[in-house]
Amino acid sequence: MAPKGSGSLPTSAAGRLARMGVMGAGVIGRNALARVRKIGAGPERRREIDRRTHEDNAVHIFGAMAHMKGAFMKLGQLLSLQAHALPEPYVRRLSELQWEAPPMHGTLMRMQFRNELGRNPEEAFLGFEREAFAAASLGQVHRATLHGGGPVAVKIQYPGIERTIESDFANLRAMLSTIRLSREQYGEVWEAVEEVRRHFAREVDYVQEADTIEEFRRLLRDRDDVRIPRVHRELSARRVLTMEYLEGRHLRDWLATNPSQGERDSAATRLLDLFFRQAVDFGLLHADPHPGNYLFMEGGRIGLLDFGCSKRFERGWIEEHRRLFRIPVGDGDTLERHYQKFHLTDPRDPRRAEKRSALLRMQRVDISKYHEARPFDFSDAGHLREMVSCLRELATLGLTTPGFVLYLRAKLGLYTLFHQMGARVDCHKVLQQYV
Amino acid sequence: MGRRETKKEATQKKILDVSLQLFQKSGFGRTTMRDIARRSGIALGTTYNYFPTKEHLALYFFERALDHVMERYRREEPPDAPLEERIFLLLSLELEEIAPYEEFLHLIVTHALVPTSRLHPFSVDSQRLKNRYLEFVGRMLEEARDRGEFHAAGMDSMIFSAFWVFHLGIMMYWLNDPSRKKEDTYILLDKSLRFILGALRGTPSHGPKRKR
Repeated sequence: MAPKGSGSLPTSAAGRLARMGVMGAGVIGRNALARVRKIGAGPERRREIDRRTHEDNAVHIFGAMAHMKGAFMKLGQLLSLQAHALPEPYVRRLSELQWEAPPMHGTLMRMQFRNELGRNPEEAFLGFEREAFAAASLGQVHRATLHGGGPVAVKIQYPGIERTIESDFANLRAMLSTIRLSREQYGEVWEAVEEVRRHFAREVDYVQEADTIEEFRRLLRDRDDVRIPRVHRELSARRVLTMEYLEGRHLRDWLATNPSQGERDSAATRLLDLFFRQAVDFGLLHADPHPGNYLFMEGGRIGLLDFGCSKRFERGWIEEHRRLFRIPVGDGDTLERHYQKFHLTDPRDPRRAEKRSALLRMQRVDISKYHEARPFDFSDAGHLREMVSCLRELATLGLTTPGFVLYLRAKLGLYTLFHQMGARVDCHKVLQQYV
Repeated sequence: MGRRETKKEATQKKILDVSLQLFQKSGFGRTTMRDIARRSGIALGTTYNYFPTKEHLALYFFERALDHVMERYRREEPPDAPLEERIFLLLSLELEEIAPYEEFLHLIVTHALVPTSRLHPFSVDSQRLKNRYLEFVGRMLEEARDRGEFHAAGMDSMIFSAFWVFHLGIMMYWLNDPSRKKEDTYILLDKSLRFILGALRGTPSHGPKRKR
């Protein structure tokens, strides 16, 4: 995506806030203008005005987000996963956002590398490409060759990002209020913001990410069909992460090769299996199910990338999570009791009936596919919409915890991926090994 | 370079090295030319011959720093970089060059701000340094223009005055930058260069291109 504006990185809180103030004002102005325009317009024309207004706002908001790099780039990625909650033009802008951000030039990138590792990348590696081949959430990724041979991907963080995160989030909240993205209407967006904020502090530290990658490599060493890059510690630091370069295609490119239905189903089935393996067996979830984090490799193997946003679950939570799948579809009493354990439901709750119906609905929309011994077709857009609507309902009724939100979001992200793949998955069969 | 000149340079460098030590130890104001001569083991007359005042010594420090920076710049200039990156490199080399003398620079900043001081960035005595520097920058601008990065319209003398002030501003910011490895200075530099050159080109800058 071509960033709007000068392409510079506003680092002071004041600078960013100023930019967002302008942005919010622009959105309000356009919305007001649209209302005026709609007076006396026919229904067709009114829809057209709405569409155009959304389009303008989308360009404006997400252009500014990409401009701000860091937290906003990441947030753009996250929101794009929940994109179906937003009007279509926002979704399109968001999907563009997830692939690109304004880059660091070679001299700045080298300086950052030198500050972290005490030497220039050209000295640290046998070969080093000055131009980045991918944007990472907090920086950019360069291809390089080790002195001992072997291709690597070197992720380099933008300078100054760590200190700016807190103020970024404070500013974002201010902006969301300005553009009247109401809690009720876009509850998920608010939750996402809060959740990302918590995880962000961890994500800026590439040493921690290296630890997580190595943990995943240990946990998944028996899986030949899954590839996780090897970390090169001696060429990594807090803001530089050198990993084995995995050869493969990202979702869009992979789909462009017209994989057969069987290949798509097989990849999705393995991804779902991997999801439960992590959530149930490991209690550690590669929780950033952004399409850019999966690689479709030769021989049907799946490459996992970007472990900065992983989430750990407690044993008790995992057990309850397994039990949830064993509750028969339509058994409202057991469902209610299940959620009582998390203090999310209460027999004396005046909204008990509403909550019960929301839980039953979620069970019907999501869990039921795990009870039926036949492939579920994720290409059905209605299913995704229902999922989102259910999640929103659960959130509105206070039936979620931060852990749930993250877990559900990861799952929803996976479903979105399956939807884009047009995949059919026998969910029941996959789950059997885990419950 | 003749032998005589080499010897002259060696002496000048010796005097400079000793004076930098003394400045950092006793302060710029309190150090006398006599102290410097005595400590370097060079006759006071000879010392005065090379450097009539302490300010001349400080200017010599900057002249030498500029020599090193230009030399390094020519070696390290990236072949396909846009002007933003080139100027970023130039200024970051300057900062790297003066980094070991930060304490000394703090000492002379107050002197340099006095309008009658020879060290003042707009004084007659600092003219030569300023011109050498701006000539170098001017060549970089011309090359960028020849590469078609922007039109000549904006290249009047005001640009150079503005650049001199910008460059001094970055130095001042760097001197007072408490961030880790002074990274805020580099962010400011990156950000303002993109802005300034975007304005100069009359189009927003999108920075270097990225391979897909």
